Amino acid sequence: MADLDESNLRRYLDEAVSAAHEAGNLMLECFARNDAHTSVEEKASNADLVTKYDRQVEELVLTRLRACAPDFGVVAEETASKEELTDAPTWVVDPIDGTTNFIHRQAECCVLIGLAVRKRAVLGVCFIPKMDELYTAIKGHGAFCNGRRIASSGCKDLTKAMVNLHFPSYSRGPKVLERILGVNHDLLAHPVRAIRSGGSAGVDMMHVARGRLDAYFEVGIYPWDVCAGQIIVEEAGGVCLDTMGGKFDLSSRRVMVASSSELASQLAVHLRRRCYDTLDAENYQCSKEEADLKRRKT
Amino acid sequence: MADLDESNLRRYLDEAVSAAHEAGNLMLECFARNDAHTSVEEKASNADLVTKYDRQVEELVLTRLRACAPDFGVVAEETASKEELTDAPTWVVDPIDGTTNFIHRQAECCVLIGLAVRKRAVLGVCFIPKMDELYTAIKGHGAFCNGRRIASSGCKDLTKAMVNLHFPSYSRGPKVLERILGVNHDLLAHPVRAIRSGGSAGVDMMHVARGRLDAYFEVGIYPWDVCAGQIIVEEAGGKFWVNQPGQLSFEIQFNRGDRVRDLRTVIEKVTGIPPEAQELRANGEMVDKEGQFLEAMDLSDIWVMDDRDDSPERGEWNPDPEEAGSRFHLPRIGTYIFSAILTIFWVTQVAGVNPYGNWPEGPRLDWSQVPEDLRPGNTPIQRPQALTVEPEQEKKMIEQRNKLPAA
Repeated sequence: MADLDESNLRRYLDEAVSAAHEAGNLMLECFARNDAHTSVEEKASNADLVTKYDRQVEELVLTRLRACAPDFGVVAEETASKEELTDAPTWVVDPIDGTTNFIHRQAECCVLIGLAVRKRAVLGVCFIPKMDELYTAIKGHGAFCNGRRIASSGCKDLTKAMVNLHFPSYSRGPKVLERILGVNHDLLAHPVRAIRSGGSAGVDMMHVARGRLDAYFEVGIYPWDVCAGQIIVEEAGGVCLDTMGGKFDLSSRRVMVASSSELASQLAVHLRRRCYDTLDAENYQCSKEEADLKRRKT
Repeated sequence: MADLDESNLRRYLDEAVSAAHEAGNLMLECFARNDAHTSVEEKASNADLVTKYDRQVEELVLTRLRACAPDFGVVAEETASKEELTDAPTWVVDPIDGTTNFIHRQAECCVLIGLAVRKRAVLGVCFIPKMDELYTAIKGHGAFCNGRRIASSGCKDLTKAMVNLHFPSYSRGPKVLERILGVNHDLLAHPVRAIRSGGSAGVDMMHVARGRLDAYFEVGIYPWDVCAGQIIVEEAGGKFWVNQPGQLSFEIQFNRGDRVRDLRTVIEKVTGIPPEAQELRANGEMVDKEGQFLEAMDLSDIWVMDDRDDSPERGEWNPDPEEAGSRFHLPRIGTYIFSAILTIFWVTQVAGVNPYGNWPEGPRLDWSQVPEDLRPGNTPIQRPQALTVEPEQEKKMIEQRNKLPAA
């Protein structure tokens, strides 16, 4: 297996960046053609969408990544979503994060390419073609946007924070809604400064890394939604945790990023109170003690 | 008071646009300096913020507007928020809409300049400096983004819509929260396709006008938040596809107030078919009311055919015959079944194997059981007539028989 020292990582980063640029150009072409909405298919529900461009972009990105590192594993949204994330070096790719935004021609959609080793991200690339912003990070070497060092806002006070939340598209059962709207209510009443909802995990995490948002959390995400974002946020000085406040796990389907650990712990209080750890309606009735127990385990 | 005809409005629009550009440049400078958060003040609550830049931008914009139209009223967020909106022409200005986003260096903040006459917007300018998008509209002349016509998405189905809502910053009492979260819940459960929250009324309305969002609503806004947006959204009109048999479809944008006869002129420009030879069909129905407003029509399936064309393909206005046939249509299915039964009946009748051929009298005769001379084509032979016996005579005959000695 290839050694992952810094020079190697830089090489992989260059490859990932050029793959992301190529993918971004394909997305811009599609914006210009204005035909994304003609190839929309519904995945799990009529709010969970995929277009033919997702598959095209993924093929393009994976071909390049496989050529530069043939022995790495691949986990990707469209064609390799069933692959298990192992300890081996693995490319984690989301060809178009924020597909619904992409279909509606919103700027908030991006290409996400991450490299995970021992289930931790070590390299991340995020390209937002409509804003022409390229975010990159290598573990231990800082996060960059278009070549300039970025830093999170460092906000430590939830009442001064702009928080981004996500309304689930995967599942909208009554208990799921009760939980997310409960969190929404608690945050508004706290009061936080503002609540936003962007709709793309990747872009929202970039905003946290850049300091435009102070916190973001979501339940129901997949590794490819967060792998690149995790390392970019962490290298920008933010924190990436589980929604219950524990250590972050790429495959746990939970993420909370914040500009500081103080802010994360204040946010986690609200999330724990509403047991916001799963979208599984069956698993809803967990008491406060159980939630605490779960937190200690993780 | 200055007359507000079109040329005057264009002049005011040019002034408002250059004021908006200047204001946008100031905002970009501030983004570059990155010091907006150092001058934050709280207005009504700690979520309702204002910076020194709001005041600077407003002063800059109002100076220019007052110079070009000194007799107009002014309602603006920071310095003239108490002014009553009257029937007189009034500039309605929000120097930085989405101040919280501005402080957090988000792209979604804009300069809004509107002109209201009789409390209705007649002119609107919105400049989003970070996205470099300038939206303008004059009543009756369409809406533009950076000089190009824009159209809203035309989405008609809430389950396919992306809806933007706004979490209030002015007031967050328990009842207010209960109401907005109740709406939020109902929309998610409807289900709408997606819910977003952008945080700037102006930018969200531009997204609706541009077709990037399908709906937006908010309670608690002020005139300066919506005056420019109203006219831009209303003027944005819509767009739809026009299909032609055997040829490429083309997209058409229309304004509010455009009628069918306007559509025919546009079609003539694209296809070369003169208006009187255009056979226009909307969802299969012939369009014959020339004065009908396009916005009142269902524009999901528009076909145009050339009346001068007599080829057999001409009649194929239906886009997808398979799809139309697959629809479950009870009367049509009933007709099919009935005619199938009739056909079977007739065929078996001719073949002579129809067991119900003689209905209702009963099954057809088996000719082999009939005496040969009675079969069709033969002359029946003479048979003795049956004796007719009167009842009284019959009684006598029975009595006579009973008297006979036993054999």
